Amino acid sequence: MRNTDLFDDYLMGNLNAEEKKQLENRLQGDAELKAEFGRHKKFVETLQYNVAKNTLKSKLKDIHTAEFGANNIKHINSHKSFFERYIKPTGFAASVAVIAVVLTITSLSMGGYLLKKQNSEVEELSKRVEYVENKQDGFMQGVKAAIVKNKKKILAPANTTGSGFAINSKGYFVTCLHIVRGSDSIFIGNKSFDYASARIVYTDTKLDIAILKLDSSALMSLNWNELPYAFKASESDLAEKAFTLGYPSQDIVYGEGTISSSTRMGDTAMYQISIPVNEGNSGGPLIDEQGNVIGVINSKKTNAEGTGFAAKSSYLAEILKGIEDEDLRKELTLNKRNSIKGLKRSEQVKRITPFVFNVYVYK
Amino acid sequence: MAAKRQITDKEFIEGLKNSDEVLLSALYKKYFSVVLKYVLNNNGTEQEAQDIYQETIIVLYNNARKPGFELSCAIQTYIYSVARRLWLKQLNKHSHVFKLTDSSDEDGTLTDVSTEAEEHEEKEKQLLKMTESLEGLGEPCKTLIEDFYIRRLNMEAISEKFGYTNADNAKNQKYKCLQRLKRLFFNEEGK
Repeated sequence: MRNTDLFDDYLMGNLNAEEKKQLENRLQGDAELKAEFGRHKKFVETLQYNVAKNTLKSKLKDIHTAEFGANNIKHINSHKSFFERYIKPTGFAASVAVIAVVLTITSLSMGGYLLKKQNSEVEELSKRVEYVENKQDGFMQGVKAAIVKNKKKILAPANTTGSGFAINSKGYFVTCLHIVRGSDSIFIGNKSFDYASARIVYTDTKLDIAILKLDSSALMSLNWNELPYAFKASESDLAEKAFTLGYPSQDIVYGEGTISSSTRMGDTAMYQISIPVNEGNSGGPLIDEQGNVIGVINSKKTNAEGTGFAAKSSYLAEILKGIEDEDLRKELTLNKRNSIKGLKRSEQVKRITPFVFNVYVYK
Repeated sequence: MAAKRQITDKEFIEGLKNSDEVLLSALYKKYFSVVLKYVLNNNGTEQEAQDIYQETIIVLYNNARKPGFELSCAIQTYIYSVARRLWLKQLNKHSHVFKLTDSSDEDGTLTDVSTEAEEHEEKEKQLLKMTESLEGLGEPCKTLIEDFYIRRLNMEAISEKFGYTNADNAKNQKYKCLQRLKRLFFNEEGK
């Protein structure tokens, strides 16, 4: 047997205890062999480290894109062009002053302050979860609980919760931007699976939409194959019947009504609906009688119970088609096959429920 | 109103030790601005800052995973010091002459990271060579080598995948490929 093969068997853990001991003894007594082994081991480690490092680096790039945006997060992207336009050409001394300003703007906008201009007649429906005097709660506990392996995971109370639902079988789902804005970490969960972590890949301020991607390992265990519902690319008519599913409480809640206006007080990207929605409903789907998704719930009218608003699926389809980054655009397709048309409502809801979930946001 | 709980340095280091992606992500997010500010202040671009920062996190990651690693200063100090060192190196490579401006206040606190930085530079040289060698190796050798050493497929699986008649045959192929890779790697070194 060639030394290299023997070394490899040793390094890859393919030797039994006795063979291992034998080689170790030989190495002890033979300085030349030991040196050869040392060189081989170092070489293999360099080879392995090469791949490990590239993997880590691409993971960091992903994190960077998710946290600070690349080409796909519009509101942060605008600062990037600001960097590019003003800082590069300006002189060294001038840039120092500009940078201080830029950093302030960037951190403000990432905290959501610049985006928070909100119509006062409309109330966003993310649920701020208040918890009392328990410093152990929050992010860390959530994280620790969520990474416990082989156990039923329990999450700590999140800072904000809302709803979300799958847009295709590649592990992408949609929720409201106002729910996930300024987040440290995001988890989703429902009855059909344990909690899984997710990260933001795309946002749109006007529609109040965020698209997130599930952690890939979670996706594999979830088996999100065929989505039951399709996304409607055209607008629905006034007075059409629709229903919604969401998590204003721990359990999924169903609500139904009609499209009562084709605008949100003039905003043509939104439907007004006569369905009572509550905090936590934000990010849930608005679905027509055939089982097509026609909107994403995002707010309700203040001082008018029973009136909600939803971003139109036709607008969602448009913005996703307009994504500049080609790779991302290809990933963010909306499901087109509807397999629940003609089923009775309770059956439709049963099929849709696994794809609608609670979104837990830690800030 | 719930107070946002700060993650301690110790928790971050533990997170790196356990390859905890959530903590890695939180760590990344927390200190980017420190490095961004420094690199921009010292004639770099945002893109360069991003690259330096990612290398810095990798240095921290590798060190945190060494047995018995203990941080002797704040994470921020460590990150700032490593990034500063890497950036200095990069500037020197292009033979720019600049007076480096340290960040003011606690942002700019330094610690000695010469050992880590030198180790990283040495590793980087090796990695560059390895990447070139792998590229030069060609197929099917490259995939075979990666299947064995990285994806840890056994010889039976490799034999099946590449259509060799048996596991011994596959083992011979792996041996030949490895020898070629070593020749490429060490010859490059002699240049």
